[in-house]
Amino acid sequence: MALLEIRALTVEFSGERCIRAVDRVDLSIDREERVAIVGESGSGKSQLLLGCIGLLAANGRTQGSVRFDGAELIGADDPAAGVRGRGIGFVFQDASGSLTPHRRIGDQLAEAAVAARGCEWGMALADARRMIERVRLPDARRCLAQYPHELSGGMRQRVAIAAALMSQPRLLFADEPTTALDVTVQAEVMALIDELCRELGMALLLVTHDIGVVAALADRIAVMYAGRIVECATASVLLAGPGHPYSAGLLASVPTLADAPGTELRTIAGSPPAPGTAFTGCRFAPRCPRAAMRCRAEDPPLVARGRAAIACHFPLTGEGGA
Amino acid sequence: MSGGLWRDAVRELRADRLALACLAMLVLLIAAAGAGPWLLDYREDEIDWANMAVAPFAVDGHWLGTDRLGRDLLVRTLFGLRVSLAIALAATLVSLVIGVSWGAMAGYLRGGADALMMRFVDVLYSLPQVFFVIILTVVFGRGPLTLLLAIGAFGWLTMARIVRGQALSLREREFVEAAVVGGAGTLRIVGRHIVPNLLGPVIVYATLTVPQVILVESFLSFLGIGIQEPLASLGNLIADGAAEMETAPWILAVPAGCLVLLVFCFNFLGDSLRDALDPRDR
Amino acid sequence: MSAVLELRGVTVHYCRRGARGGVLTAVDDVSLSIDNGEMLGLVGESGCGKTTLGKAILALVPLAAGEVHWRGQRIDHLGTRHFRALRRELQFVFQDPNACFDPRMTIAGSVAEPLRALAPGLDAAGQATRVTGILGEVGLAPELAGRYPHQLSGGQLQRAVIARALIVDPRFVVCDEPVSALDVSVQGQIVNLLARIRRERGLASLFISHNLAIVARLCERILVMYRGRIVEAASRDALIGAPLHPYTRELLDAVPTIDAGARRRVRVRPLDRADSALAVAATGCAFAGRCAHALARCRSERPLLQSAADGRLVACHRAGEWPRGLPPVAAG
Repeated sequence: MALLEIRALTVEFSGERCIRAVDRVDLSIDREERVAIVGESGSGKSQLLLGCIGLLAANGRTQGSVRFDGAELIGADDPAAGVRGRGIGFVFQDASGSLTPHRRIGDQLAEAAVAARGCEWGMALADARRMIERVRLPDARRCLAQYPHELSGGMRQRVAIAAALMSQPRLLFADEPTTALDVTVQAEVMALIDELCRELGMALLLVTHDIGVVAALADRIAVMYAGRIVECATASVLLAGPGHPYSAGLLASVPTLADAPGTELRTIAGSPPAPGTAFTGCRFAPRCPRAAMRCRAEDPPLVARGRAAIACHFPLTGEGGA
Repeated sequence: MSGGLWRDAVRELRADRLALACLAMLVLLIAAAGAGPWLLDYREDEIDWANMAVAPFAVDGHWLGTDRLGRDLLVRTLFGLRVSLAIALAATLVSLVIGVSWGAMAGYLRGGADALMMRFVDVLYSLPQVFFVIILTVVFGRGPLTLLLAIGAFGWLTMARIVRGQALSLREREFVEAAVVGGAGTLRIVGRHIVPNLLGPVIVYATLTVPQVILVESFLSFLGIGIQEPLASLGNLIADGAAEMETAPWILAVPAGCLVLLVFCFNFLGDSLRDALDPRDR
Repeated sequence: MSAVLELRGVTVHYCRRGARGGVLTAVDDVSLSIDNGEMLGLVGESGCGKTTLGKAILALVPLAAGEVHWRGQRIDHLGTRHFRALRRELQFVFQDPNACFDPRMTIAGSVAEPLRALAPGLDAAGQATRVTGILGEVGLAPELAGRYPHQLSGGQLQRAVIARALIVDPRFVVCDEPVSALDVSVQGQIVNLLARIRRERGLASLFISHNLAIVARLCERILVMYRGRIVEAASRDALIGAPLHPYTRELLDAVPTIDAGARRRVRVRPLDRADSALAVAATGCAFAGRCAHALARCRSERPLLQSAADGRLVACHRAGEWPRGLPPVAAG
């Protein structure tokens, strides 16, 4: 049985219009597996994570099923219980989402431990110190006594990861954990997450707009566009040969040092659709260089083709139009 | 003005029933104060010898009764409302204009100019307002103009402090730097970028200042320093009523009730405006 | 080819307010020159002072020492009013498109604003024509002109930022991390736009970024900055092919790769004390605490920026030991 089973998850926001941010997404994560969800802003990837553990805004509603270790999270009395006692940790994009500015770091970490495991304060503080050392922050004793604003962005994010791990989770949710950081710090934080997942035997669900950042880390990659998953495959398969034109576009747009200087960067034409836009046919058709008549009329379902699941009438690998 | 931000605020306000009710009540009060006296039979200083100190609803024509001199209480209260409101709105306007300009410039200029300007505010703050009013009264005589001067001289101080705080943080925003790069001068930046972006708190504070001014004016008039007979203000009406409290309580109750209603509505509306304009809720 | 912009020994201090007090040197003795039509790349991580340097050129922050020369004239000591005349020629593209627009002004209003002070001869019709023209040049649809900043996407806003910088027809632009706040898929569009504009207008510019891969696309010459100091300066090919400074090597290794075979190339390194946000520059090389090749000499003696082969500059005591550049770090 998978550790996390997401079936037909839909996230909607009420307001002037009803906005559907996530549209019937299926995804499953096994124990100790690392899955990355890649998509541009507005693709619904963050709302997917927040919807699973009940952290949506007040006007948000989830439908469908999210099972963590067999227990249903949607519609449970306290959806956030999935985070606290039952083994899901959450790392936000901006460490200020995890850390209160006016309390010391040691206190915050210890509090997380007490809330999750009910241990007593002294033990919680000792755990906090061990966790600070585990995320490779220097001088743990001093760090525990500091306030978040006294650390740099990269260090704060390490503290946020430490905070997420205090409840000894079996699954780590990470919402764009390195987007606000420099490349060097980005690389280190990703390496740290990689190492911690291995050491602690945690599964990982990481959301990002930068496919380059997860290429070395993820076991499986799911590409999301306008609220739907358009491609899902193991990392090696997807990176070697993406099936969906959008995945290919994302991969091509990552700037690398190997490219010839002075040439234009490859891009995906246009911009991602605003959440809640109505579609006929394939959602990516307006921006797709391969769009045909059928694409504008018929919405392609996510079907298995070879070693990947692709939602496209004319995928780049294998036969199309079937 | 940014259409989006104001439109959202209006929408939020529209959903707040109590705020709408207060707004409606205020409009009603202002309309009554403005037009009411014309519609009623009696004038505010007209003495009805036959009906002195009658209770409300006891005699036809005097809906809310009369005072000990036989003057219709409803008409007098409406007149008092008119005077109090006029002074309050005028004083608030003065404090708005002076306070916003002073605070915005101080906050934007920082350094020595800011220090000088805010020390001046601190000095004025520490002067006891009542003594100042009394001195002004001695120099300029009693009357609405003196009152306006006295209240206006102090009303802008808190506004300046609030605005300065906002301006200090606004000046660090990147769009102010962008305006500097675009060659804009200090006056343009303060007038076009800083002030419009702090209007939210300013409007809220102004709405909360009006009832404060009304109370100060009422208090001063109650003490005998402000508006004098035969001109009616809510303050001296309450003073009259206090003297007759045991024999004819309605002479106190009517203007006091009106004052309470007015102050409550302004305060509540101000609170709701602050919630509606709070950018953090976006 | 003559240098249009020259910096000599520029130093900028940052005074910390409050109880902690003290002075942090944000930019430390930086010299550089930019030729007409050249785009110079400046790479470094957050807090290294590269943004401060860009702002110092435009007199947005005061210099503690050094000189800035524009077209042979010294400009760093001009007062605010005298500098205003120069603002037509020197412009700035800001990093965070969401923050650098007044939320209460329309896009057209914000983009046109520099014209008021810097092109006073234009009447309203002239201004409108210029606005339409520049919006077209950066690829913004005309109907977006009347919208407010919060109604535009990140990529669209960044185009508007560029439009505002270009509307006065400057000769030099500082581009401060113009794509860092954008999705990777949108970054390419803006980078291509900047390259095209530079070609068409012959602008001299300083391109600041923390992502070496993007800088390498656009710039022939690249400077690497660490903790306020230039640690290496070289042509693009030399820098990427044979980096001489260990920090440059680290930057190169950190560029994300989509080759699934190269897993875990970056080791997690324990952070040095000096990495904390409030560290004051100590003696010796600022990078010593983080450097895999550090010697005792590195901690006590500060390396100066010196010439190496081919007109390159590098500030490292050991740079002579690896004439072919540092090899990539082995996979962990």
